[in-house]
Amino acid sequence: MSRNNKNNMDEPGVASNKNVATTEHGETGVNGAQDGDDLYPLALLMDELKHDDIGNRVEAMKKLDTIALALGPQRTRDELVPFLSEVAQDDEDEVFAVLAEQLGKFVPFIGGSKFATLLLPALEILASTEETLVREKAVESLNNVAQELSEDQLFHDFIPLIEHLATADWFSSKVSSCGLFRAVLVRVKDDKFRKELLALYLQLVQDETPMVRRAAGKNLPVLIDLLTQNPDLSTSDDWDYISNMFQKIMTDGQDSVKFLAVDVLISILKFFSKKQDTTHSKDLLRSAIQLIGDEAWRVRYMAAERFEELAFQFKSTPQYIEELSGPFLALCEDNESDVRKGVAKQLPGFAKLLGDPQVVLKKVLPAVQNLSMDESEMVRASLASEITNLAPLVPKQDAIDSLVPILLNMLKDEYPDVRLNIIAKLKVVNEVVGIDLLSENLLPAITELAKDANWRVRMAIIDYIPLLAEQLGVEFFDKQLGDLCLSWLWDTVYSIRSAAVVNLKNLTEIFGSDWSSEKIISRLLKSDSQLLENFVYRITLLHALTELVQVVSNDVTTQKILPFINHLTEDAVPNIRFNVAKSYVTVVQSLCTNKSKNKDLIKRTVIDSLEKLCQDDDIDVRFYATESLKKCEALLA
Amino acid sequence: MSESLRRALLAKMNKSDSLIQSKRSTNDSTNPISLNNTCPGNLPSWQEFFTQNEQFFINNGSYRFNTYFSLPEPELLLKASKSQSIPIFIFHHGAGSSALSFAPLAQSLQEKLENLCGTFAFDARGHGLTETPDTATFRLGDFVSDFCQILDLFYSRFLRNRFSDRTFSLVLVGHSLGGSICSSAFHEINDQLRQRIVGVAMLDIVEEAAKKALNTVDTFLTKTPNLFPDYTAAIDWHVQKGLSRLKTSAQISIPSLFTPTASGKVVRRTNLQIFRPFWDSWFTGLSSKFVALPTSKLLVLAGDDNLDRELIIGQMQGKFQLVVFQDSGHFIEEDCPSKTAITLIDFWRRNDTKNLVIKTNWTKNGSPISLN
Amino acid sequence: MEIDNDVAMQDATEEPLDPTLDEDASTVAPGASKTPEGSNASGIADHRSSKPLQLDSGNIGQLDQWIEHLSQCQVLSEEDVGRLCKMAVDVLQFEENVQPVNVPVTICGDVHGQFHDLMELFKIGGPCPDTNYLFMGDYVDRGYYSVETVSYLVAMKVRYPKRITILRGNHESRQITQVYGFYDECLRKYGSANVWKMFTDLFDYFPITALVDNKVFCLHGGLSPMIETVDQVRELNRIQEVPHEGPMCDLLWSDPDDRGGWGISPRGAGFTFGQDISEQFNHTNDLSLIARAHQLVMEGYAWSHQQSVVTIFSAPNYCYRCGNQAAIMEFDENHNRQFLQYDPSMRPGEPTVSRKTPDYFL
Repeated sequence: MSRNNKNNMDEPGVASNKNVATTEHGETGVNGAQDGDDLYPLALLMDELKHDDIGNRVEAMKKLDTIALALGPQRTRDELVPFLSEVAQDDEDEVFAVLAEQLGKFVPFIGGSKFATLLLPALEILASTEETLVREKAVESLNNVAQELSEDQLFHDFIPLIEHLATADWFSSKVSSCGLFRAVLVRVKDDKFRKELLALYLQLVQDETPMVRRAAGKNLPVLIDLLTQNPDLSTSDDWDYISNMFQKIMTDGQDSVKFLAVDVLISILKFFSKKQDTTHSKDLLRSAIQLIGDEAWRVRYMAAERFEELAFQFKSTPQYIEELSGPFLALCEDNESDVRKGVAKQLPGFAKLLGDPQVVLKKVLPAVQNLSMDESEMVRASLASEITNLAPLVPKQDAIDSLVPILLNMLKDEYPDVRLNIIAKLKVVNEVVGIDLLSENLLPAITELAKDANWRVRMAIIDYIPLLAEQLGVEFFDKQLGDLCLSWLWDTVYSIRSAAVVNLKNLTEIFGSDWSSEKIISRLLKSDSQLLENFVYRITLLHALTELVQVVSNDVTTQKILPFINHLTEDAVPNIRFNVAKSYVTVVQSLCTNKSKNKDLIKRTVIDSLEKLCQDDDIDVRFYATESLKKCEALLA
Repeated sequence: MSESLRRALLAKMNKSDSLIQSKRSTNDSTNPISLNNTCPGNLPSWQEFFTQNEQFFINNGSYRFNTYFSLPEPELLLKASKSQSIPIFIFHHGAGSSALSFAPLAQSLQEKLENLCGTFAFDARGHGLTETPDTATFRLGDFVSDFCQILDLFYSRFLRNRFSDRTFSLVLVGHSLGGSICSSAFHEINDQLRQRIVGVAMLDIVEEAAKKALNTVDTFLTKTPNLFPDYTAAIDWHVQKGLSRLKTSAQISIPSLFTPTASGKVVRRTNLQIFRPFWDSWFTGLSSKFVALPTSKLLVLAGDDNLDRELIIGQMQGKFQLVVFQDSGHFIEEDCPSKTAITLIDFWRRNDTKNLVIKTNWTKNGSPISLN
Repeated sequence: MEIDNDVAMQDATEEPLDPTLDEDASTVAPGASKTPEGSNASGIADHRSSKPLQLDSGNIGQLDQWIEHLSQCQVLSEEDVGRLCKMAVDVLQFEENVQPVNVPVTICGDVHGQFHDLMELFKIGGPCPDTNYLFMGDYVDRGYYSVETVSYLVAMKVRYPKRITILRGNHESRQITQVYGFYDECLRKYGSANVWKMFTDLFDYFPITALVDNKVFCLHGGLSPMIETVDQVRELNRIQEVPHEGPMCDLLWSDPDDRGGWGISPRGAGFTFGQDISEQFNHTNDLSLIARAHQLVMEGYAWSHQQSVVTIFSAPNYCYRCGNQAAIMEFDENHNRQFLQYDPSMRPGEPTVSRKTPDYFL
């Protein structure tokens, strides 16, 4: 695709060498296709597909379905599909990717499943390209198309396609073939054929190119899971093959292949669990332990990440679970921080499988203690995200004596994610040990997060406040957290002030109107006058009180809040005045719960003020006052 | 040309033209000044673009540099106002190119400045008609050192006398690798000459993009034929590939890259592969070096504005002038000689403080508070 | 031929639009030759009203709908952009070269199509219209969402003319936008250059400076050796393409410098001005501060000339790779200043722009 020569650009008003004329001609505007009145004839599409700008070609590709619909099945089969097969050999990867995706949805457009095999040649080409993204889309589409195929078509067209790709010279074809076996494996009822397929797959597992072996390893669990879903289909011959593949992957020279063995093993274990067949358990446990202790850290990392799921497959034999505890603790002390990070999340899950609280206390807690002081913040954050779930697994007193001190230390961690992860899951600890113990060390951690330089960290802690308030109770809250909650109203970042306003409303819903009137509203009304010289804080105060109107009693609104709002109608800053106008609607909504009692007051104060604001000098004040007046009158009517 | 066809041709050429093959990496040493060979009858000659073609010897004569230049005639200088500084544009071409890449630009500058300017270009080591020993290396530092020595020689042999009684200003202009060489050479040039420099201009070179290009250079090299049936075919190929989009420019720049074989074909003089061991050094740190140059800076890019981080920050802090020619290919000086000339003249005018008075209508000058 | 110094080349860009500037052309046309009423005009200013746009329930409803749509980072249809720009002409043409602005106001610098970061800015400073804003230009180019960004700000301007002021930056120009992305983005998102034409025609009407409570002079670039008083700005004819030189160009292009006096700008347009110049200008015009944008500053804001000049830059991690913070300046009703710094918004990765590797040797 060469750029246009600059000699083409003597058209006045056209900026550069980009082919504007074609673009305008093509009408690729966003609206064209939606209107449906602008269907693209094939010739125009071909023009667009030859367009200089790759963006246009991609856009044209995305509209293939519209074109196919317009052409009808016959012409789509006879003209469009052959044309696309040609395109599939000569364009750029971005265009291929869209084409590959589109073809997967094409069966209805070519006249249904009996013609579906027509799509295979183009997809086969795309599945052989070098670009991973294109291949993946092509494989996905091939799998989609395969679902539409009859058994006959599978045998005559699809399986040969797999064989063709799997035995091609170029690695990219083989990689793609690995993703296609899933479409046929359990649809082949003939044992002999299935065996041939598995034999072919075994070849891929042993391919000379690591990329191919990796793809084979990655796709193998899917194939095994398919056999698990059809437990009576597979024969012992099949399992000889699978066992062979597993051995090959597990002993592969490349770490990036070997680590895939963990998922393969889990799938194999699931199959035998489903069959309730334990004859191989012992061998498979050996394999598991071997993988967990593998010399390659990537393999150990994978074992760590999947530990709970792996161990879960042995749960019917407690002795095996116990045998896994040694390797598990070794992972907790692994040299690689990524491994420790993976296993840190597995602690409560594995502890639950261990069952015996004493074992948990003796073996697991010391590991937790070490990980909580790990040098890597990622490890600590990972531990923090799950650790609280250990609390119900040990006796209460032990939780208090051994687990809580660890948690409290983690609440002081210098890394905010660690603290936030703990706070997010404190509820479960609270249920076991009670809040008193927690609160003492909780506070400093919260205060520090509340002052974090990153406003999103401050935001996160505000989100937890209602949760904590509920757990801590009103007395403790007033003493320890009340000031903090008010101080957020004066934050320099608008989003924090806004969250602080919502927080006050949430707290009022928890602690009630009287509490709010006494502990919040009274204090707000006595805010520092110097602070309120800045309109930012006057508007925040107005927003806070307006928010509270919705959750306090009418008396509080009329006696405390309304007078303050009225007084702001004279504010020098128009932004305050039109927000007053908006606030009045909320006030009237609330007071209308007892319309007969409050009607006069509303008319005397609110309506009167709004009428004045409707004559304001500022256009926005007039607009919002007029809007509010309409709404209030409607509410009163 | 397909790869297999190219290989076949090369193999054939190896047999019939083995003499020339052996010289490809070290240039045509037996027949040094073969200008007539590079200039077949129907094609333009260097004389249409420059007035002089001189050989400069450096490193004890082991290197012979082929230079082209034009200087204002003494009579013309006499007529021009004494207070006017005369700009001299010093060009450095990029890897695989040659001095004559600047021929159309030099011509355009002469035209627009009515010959009251100087233009100077030379074939770098390993390029064009410059003669380089077999042992030569091609590090950035090698090119920079050549550049400084040649500039010294140019001054002492040609400028000193011509400008004995009036001032001149230098503008360094480098294309591609040449831009990197000019930016690095600025600090290495002797003080006397450096004080004359009013600015450094780089044509279509960005460190990040250049490094990326070197990573994929093999693809480019395999697609680039080294042998053509004749000069016209070579010119046509380069024009068609957009490597020199203006045919009139290609007709002077491209023949200088080739030398004829016994069988009448033309073969590329410079084997680009010989640079491979050295190109790691070519662009490292270029962007920050350019932005920090203590002189006026101009960057002209072709096509898109594809600045890297250092250059974006520099540009957004107003540290250099950026101009983008959207309708140009990489060889800006060949594709847009006239626009480039206008841009360079403006760059020189604006920054040559000897020519400059800032007009102001402010009534008072100086501040109410005195500054140190 | 003597080259006229008043040529297009003074700018930091070439003028590919101009047919006379073809290769081998013997003359070079002045860049500002194209008037908005020229043959290529979009027509948005063909029926200018003699009175400012009146907001009524009909157009307010329309504007609110557009603003809602745009705030999701979705572009308006070409027809709607046309309607919006026509309305905007009838708001902006009545603003002054030195647009008066009341306190309190939050002053912002370059945005450059970083739409999500503009939304982040409102999260930090508060939503408009509750907070008043003054933007000092450079809404388009370089970022991936110039169309959405400028559409949003213009829609806000039309909807809340008293709450938001949008000045012109040097990127609000036909020439610059063809090089730095806005033109290409319009082409990509609309399939034609019409939307680009409408917006660039509209840019001619943007005010070029603002005066906050008579004390803070706000503009995109900086001072001009041809502008000694604020009144002299009022005398300019601003309704035109940004010229390549002269006072209007300088106001949008100049930078403060550590060296005193006037200097040649390394940018190739505008000038540099020293502390003596800033202090004299503030003194002559009874100002407390010059607020400007135009230069990337790593902390988002930077003082110069002993607090006579402040630079504000509101595009965090500019171009998605410069690693700088952004800032805005709150200026309250008592003339207190507060700077708010912020980082890029959190969002799923930006679309990756595949940069073509050069296909030539170096």
